[in-house]
Amino acid sequence: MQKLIYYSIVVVILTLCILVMNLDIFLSTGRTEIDNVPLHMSALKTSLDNAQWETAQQEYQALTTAWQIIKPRIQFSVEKDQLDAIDSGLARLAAYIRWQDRVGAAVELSEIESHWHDLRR
Amino acid sequence: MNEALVVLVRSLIAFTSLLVFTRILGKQQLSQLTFFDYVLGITIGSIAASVSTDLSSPAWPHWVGLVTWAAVVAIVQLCSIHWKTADRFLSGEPVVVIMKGKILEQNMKTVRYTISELLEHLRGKDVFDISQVEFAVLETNGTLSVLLKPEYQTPTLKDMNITPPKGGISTETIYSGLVIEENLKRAGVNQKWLMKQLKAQGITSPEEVFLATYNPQSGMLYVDKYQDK
Repeated sequence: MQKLIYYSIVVVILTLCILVMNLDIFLSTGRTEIDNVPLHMSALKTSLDNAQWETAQQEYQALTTAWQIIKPRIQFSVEKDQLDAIDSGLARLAAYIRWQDRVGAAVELSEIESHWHDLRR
Repeated sequence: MNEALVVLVRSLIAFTSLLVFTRILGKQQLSQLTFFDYVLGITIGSIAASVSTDLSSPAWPHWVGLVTWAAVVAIVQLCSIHWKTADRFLSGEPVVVIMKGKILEQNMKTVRYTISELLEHLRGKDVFDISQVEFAVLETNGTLSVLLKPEYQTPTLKDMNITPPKGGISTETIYSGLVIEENLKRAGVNQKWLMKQLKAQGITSPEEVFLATYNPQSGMLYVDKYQDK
């Protein structure tokens, strides 16, 4: 019985470790509209395609908010460099939207998307 | 990203994983490790350090590396236990470096063992004159086993026809002022007996005692009090 308890403790510990290291798979998927990063990226893309800069600005804010919610959740299981890359990409994207540079904003958003997909690999 | 928090969580993961794996991998002491075991230990430790503090990559691949190395070591250990040939291949074989008082230079060259290392190891075995050595074997874990010539060997009690006193293992009966009932029972005595023995040594309470051990074979009770006067 005691042996069984020991083995159970070991299994529980290792399972917890595995879970914490793979939290990003579960937690990067937004549970509501507010923390749904892919949804806001897609909406922002549409706004950029149609050159709707006011909507793009709103979508950018929504995307940043969603990212700020998701980031602490996945920080234990992803690369720091990738988180930093998305942060920098968002900062550059803000400038492109502000100056209504469609090409620059599209390039930046595409890079952010790429980093986002890399995070979840 | 809260880097300190991430390092804290990842360190806990590395620590607990390492603890579990080292418990699984056995109880070999550092002095018993072969060179290969030693290198394996360093590699596993290095990977655990990466799990803990290398934030430039996710913890998961490092952890998978850690599990893989631990699993390979466990498999190697199992192979060594079950197949003698595998054990010989993985751990190597002991090498005779002195035979019948003669140094085997060729064997020493094969294992890259120098004369100064041989003399150092002999001194470690309290042998300061190499002419006293009949056989010396360099073990796989790097220690030297030495057999002295008969005339230099220490006589045993059997050689001198002396009956040795009873040995046996002593068990703790009091530790930090607390009586360990379980050990008393195992040694076939009780608390009443213990108190009587303590009183005979001028001790009124077990709380005065830091450590007391009892050897059932010899009947000896060793008592160390907090007050050393």
